[in-house]
Amino acid sequence: MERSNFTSEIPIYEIPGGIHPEEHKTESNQTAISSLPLAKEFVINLKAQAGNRSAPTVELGQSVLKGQVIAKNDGVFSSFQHAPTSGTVTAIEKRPIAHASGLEDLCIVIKSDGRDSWVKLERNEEYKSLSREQILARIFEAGIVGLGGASFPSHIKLQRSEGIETLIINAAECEPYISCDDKLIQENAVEILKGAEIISHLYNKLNIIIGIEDNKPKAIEAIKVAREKLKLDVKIGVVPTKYPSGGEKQLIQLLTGKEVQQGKLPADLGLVMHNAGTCFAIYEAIIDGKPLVDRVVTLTGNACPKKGNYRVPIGTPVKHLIDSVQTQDYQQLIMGGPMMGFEIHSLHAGIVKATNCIIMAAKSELSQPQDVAPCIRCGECMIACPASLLPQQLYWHAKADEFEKAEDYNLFDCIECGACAYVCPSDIPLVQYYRYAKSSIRNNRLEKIKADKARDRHEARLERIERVKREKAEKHRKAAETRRKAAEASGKNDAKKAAVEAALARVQAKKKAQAEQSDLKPKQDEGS
Amino acid sequence: MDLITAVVILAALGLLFGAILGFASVKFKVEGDPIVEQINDVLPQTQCGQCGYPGCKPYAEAIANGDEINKCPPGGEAGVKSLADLLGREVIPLDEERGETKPLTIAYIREDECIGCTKCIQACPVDAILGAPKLMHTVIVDECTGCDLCVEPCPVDCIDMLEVPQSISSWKWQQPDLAINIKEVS
Ligand code: SF4
Ligand code: SF4
Ligand code: SF4
Ligand code: SF4
Repeated sequence: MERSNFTSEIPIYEIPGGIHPEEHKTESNQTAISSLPLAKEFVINLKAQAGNRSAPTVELGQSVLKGQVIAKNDGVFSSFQHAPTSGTVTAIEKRPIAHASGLEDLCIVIKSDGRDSWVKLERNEEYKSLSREQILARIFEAGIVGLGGASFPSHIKLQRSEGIETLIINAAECEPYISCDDKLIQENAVEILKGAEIISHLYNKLNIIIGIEDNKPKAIEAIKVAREKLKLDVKIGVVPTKYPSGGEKQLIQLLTGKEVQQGKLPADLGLVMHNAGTCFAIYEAIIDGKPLVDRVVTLTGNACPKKGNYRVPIGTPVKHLIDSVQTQDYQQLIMGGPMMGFEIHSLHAGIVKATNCIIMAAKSELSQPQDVAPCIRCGECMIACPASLLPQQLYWHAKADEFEKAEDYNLFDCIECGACAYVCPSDIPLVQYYRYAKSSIRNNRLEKIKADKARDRHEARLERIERVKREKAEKHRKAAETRRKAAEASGKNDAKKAAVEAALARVQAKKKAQAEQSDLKPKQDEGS
Repeated sequence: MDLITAVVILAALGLLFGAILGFASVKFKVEGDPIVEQINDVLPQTQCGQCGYPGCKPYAEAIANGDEINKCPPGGEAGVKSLADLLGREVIPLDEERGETKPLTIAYIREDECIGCTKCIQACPVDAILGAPKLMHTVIVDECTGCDLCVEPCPVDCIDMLEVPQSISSWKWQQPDLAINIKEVS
């Protein structure tokens, strides 16, 4: 493959491990980015971003215009979704999604009216007059998430402002087969750099570095021309082609020599990293006022007759893509690259913002899970691991369900790059074991939280029952007491009454006696 | 003379340490039995009573007093293993008489059939059912542990235990060994 003879403008450091698989990029990066006919139906997955599922804002039967909001965020750690074309909402229901699980999730289905007419867009060249909050809000509302693969909502990544000095544009695109960023840079380097300028403006100017592998000479050339045109200070860091140089931590280490420690973020090193495609999306959102409704997708693989890069609306069903390129006899459909991608289970799933590539693999093009041999403890995996882990140990512990021990060996530092499995002479599906262990640990944590809650509620209930019992007993006791007192009191009253009556009787008796006496006695006093 | 000094000093020290220990035992008093708490922490808190005790904590107490560790079906094999690890005991197979480990289910009340008798509310160990006398009842899905205890008491049989559908957030990658086995079988 062609290598750029352009020397890096900044010093490049070493990273451990890494592999050199066949690149397979020339198959798809020779033609310009083009479009395919519009699909009839679009399936927009509402849980396509990292974070919370978006909440639908449209109703069944409602007609929508391209770019209109159809679902909004649920909390900050979430995203907006927009109609990828104009048409009618025909369903809001669970549909198969593009996910390794093959499960269904909530989707909005839009039937295209074929006109593809936009909502009114608000262009804004003068973004510098907007406040930081206003720009962030527009990025949020444009539904922008990291287009490099993780789909992390971009507004969150841009939130933290203190201590950030450098923006790294990730243009390494190290995974074989994929060439969408390469082509996007070749054709839209100016817009990408303008997007980077917007990010830089958010922080009152950052140093901008673009990290790119030396297998993209045309893209490097395009960046040079664009920065000349924009008079923008951008350093080009050309890294040797080696997988996985485009991993976030790996590219940072290559370009700065600094390691992002476990549990830390690039921001802790004063860095923020965005993918080249994300920079382009930010440009479109802020300058053109366009929400993220499409992306460049590499369609490739030996069973793909029209290999190339296409601008594809989000939600386009996979079936529409493979029909459009008239593929036949593919044996496997992979979303993403051959190292980190996953097999597509349903052709009806729509592509998502993270879909950078679809490989239509012919028979025996990609290595199939072969007969797995026992681990011979050769140590090859350790040499290949870019995160300096001990893949073999991780494997043993994951296999034996010893998750705590796997965590002790820093399982969560594993970026699931697959370099270890690639070199393993025993063909052990190592990454699958790590994914299994990671998802088990995550699930166990969730279960623990639920169990703790159940215990608290159970204890609260026992306490309540106890309390009610106590209160009842107390009430009985009190009632009994009052009764007793009342009885006592009434007893006393009787005595008093009797006493009073007795006294009255006595008085009466006395009076009577006196009266009788006076009757008998002559009234001496009267005359006196 | 020396002897007396020594005795006095030792006696004084003894008193002093005694006082410190006495103070410490009051000041740093541990609430409850720490081992029981640790065991209870490992139990799944479903509060279903399948172990033969009226809830997880009583079973935890029983284990601390020497009962077997294999009586909790919701905890499953993994639960037995964690208990064995915690207590340094042997891993033993689950006691099948207690029931089998089933996938998590959640109670669902068919509300139009509910007569509002409150019997299920009284049965629910985690207060996961909402309702009032003569009014229809409903289950707070997030709080339900799937213990099954509300099903029996319902006089009109309107409570179903439904399997929780898999969602993206609860989905787990399969253990590759198992995946391979399944492929070989089919
Ligand atoms: S998949 Fe994980 S363990 Fe294997 S090489 Fe990559 S980072 Fe290392
Ligand atoms: S490369 Fe494979 S066989 Fe060699 S030590 Fe690693 S897991 Fe074992
Ligand atoms: S069987 Fe039920 S009550 Fe007993 S410990 Fe297990 S979950 Fe708790
Ligand atoms: S609702 Fe029923 S199954 Fe759920 S926790 Fe309460 S009693 Fe158990």
